[in-house]
Amino acid sequence: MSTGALDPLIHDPQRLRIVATLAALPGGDALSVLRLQEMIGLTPGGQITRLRELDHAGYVRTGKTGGDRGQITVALTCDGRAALDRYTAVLRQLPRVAREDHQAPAPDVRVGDADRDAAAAALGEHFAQGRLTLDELDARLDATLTATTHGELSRAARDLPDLTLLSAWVSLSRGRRARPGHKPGPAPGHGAWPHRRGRTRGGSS
Amino acid sequence: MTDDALDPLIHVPTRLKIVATLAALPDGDTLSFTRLQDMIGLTPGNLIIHLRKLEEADYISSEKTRNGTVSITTVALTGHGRKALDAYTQALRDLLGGL
Repeated sequence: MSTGALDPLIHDPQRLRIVATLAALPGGDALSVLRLQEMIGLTPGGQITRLRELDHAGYVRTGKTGGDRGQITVALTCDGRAALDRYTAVLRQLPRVAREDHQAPAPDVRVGDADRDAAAAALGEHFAQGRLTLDELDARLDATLTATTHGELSRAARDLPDLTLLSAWVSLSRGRRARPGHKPGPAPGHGAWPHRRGRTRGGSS
Repeated sequence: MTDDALDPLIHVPTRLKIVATLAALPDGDTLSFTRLQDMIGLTPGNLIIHLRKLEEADYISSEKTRNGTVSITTVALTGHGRKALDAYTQALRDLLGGL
């Protein structure tokens, strides 16, 4: 899983709701699945399926409270919390999705692994798009991966255009698998979009 | 069930990218189809499908201009689309406790 993509496991609205709810609990606390169900309003079957998917990925762990009427509980694992952190870091790179006052954290605010990874991914994309030479990339990657504050991070990304953050994010998440229900072609006849009718230009003779 | 708070039309990663990209433009600015394709990195066919969906919902508007033999399609976010993105990011922020 590359660090720059929106984790599809978390991005699913229902799983996102589960993960966000569990993440809001203080320090790794467990929640009974019944309580979780009340809080997010999924059907029991739907919730079990989502929890199983998250459990399978190691993002949550289930347990059982003691006593003869033991309840099933669920908690976010460290992996799950790290995955959510990466997920929100990717979201924050999207122009306009980030809260305005979060777009430029004070230079002396400390950065985490997710910030460093995201910045490194962006540098890789600048390199891929020809804005940096290999040597420059190396030097800046070093600076990025050892940065402790936002000031140091933005210094490593100085003089590079901002929008590339977006394309970095985009290109990294490009390799998603094709959906099984993928429809082969659009229905023709809407708006200004060209329709596939063979070549329109240079296609004569 | 509050899942519909996250607008499914915007939540799809590709469309989220499109909408966020267009929203980053200064008000009233448009982006050409080719430029958008460069930035998002989709195949034209894929991009067209998503744009059409967004246009059907009136989230974006498109215009085709003919300049000599070359026609250029430009895309822009509508006011409606901007509101939808704002509502979406607000819902996301609420969910994630401030993002």
